[in-house]
Amino acid sequence: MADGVVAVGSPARALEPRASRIPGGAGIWIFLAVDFTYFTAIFAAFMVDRADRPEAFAAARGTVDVLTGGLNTLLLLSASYVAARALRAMRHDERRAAGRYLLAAAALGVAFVLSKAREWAIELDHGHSPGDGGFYVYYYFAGGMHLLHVLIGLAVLAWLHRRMRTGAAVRAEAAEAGVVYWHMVDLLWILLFATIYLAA
Amino acid sequence: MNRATVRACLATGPLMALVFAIGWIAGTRWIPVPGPSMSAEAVAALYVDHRVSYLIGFTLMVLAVPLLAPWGAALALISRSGERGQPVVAYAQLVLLSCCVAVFVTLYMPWALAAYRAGEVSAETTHTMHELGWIMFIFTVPPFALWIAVLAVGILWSPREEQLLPRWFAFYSLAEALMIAPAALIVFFKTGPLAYDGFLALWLPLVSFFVWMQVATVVAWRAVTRGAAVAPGAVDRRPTVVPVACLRPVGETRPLSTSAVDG
Repeated sequence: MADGVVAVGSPARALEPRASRIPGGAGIWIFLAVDFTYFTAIFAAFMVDRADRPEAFAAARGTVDVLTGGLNTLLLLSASYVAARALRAMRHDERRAAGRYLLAAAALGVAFVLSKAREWAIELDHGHSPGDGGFYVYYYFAGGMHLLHVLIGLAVLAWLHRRMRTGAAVRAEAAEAGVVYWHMVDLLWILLFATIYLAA
Repeated sequence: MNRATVRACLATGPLMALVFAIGWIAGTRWIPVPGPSMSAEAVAALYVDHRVSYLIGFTLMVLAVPLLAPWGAALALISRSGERGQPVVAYAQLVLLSCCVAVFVTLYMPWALAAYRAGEVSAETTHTMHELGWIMFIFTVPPFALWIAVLAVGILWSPREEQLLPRWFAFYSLAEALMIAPAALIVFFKTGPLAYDGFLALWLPLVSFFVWMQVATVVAWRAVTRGAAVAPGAVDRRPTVVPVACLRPVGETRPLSTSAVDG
């Protein structure tokens, strides 16, 4: 078997992370670096715009549902923890446990999506649309791009879950990359929540 | 097809970026761009005042853009090295590439026409042509995003030992596709970062796309160095030159047949 290509399902010792290996492979970290740069650019644009129109942005920020935002943070943090447990279970070749953890992580992710849909529906009901070119553009756009990441993450979790259920092997690197990505989705949300919902 | 030809095609990428940038920066000088919040009269006045430099800029850009075709074809060919069986991913790349080049060439027509008749037609007409150009420039981003994503997926799906392009480049390309795709939202905005003169709709996708192109060129260039043959049937067929040793090791029998050559 090629270096760094260790299948889940082989003896647990083979899956111990080695010091010389990047978890998930270098590729996923390049993706994260570019993606974080992108979100940083969005947040930077937000801050520049906010500095131009502080009153309008402050007034708009006052209308967003911080409580739901907090709940969403909890959902994603829990999802991240459960995904980490899933990877641990995969490393110990506990297929059934890994499957359950993956399912739980996905369920928390779906709960986030539903909560987000509800939050946006309420905002739109109140007439807060992104068409104004100000605060709400960032609120919906950053949230929407993040939501797209959550949906991609859910697809990855579903794929991993299917592999666990069918008894198929997963490259250790692929499993790690999937979970690292899911952690990034969580971290991005925390940055987004702090920048757009909380920062005055 | 040999390495030199593939490299010549790859070199058209940076050349395209250079000529395009000259057209944009020195020709139209659209930094910042005349955006959707400008009145028709103000836009028309710009076209009248800068008619010639606009026309030079558009001409340079429309000359640069077709160079995307040989560059993208070389990239598709190199990524094809790792694709097993029927080359459907490479075909998908080529079709999307054709679509991108077609759109990218066509979009200069309304801008060129606006400059061509600047001052002779109404401000509204010039303004409409100007905005049509912008909608064509940015709203048509989906084939670009899908092209980049298909290239990335093709790399990730191919066996590691057979793919000449690195996997990290595939991940980078996926992030790039995600970064440029939202530009298609411009039709919903007349102000702010997602309007067609905005940071998230224009500058970030445009600059990041050209940066991605340069990275792709370097990565593909190295892949050509690594791979002896860039695609099945594309083996370098030049006759192999076997060097004839000047000195023979001591004690080795001198073959009779080469005596005439040795003189």
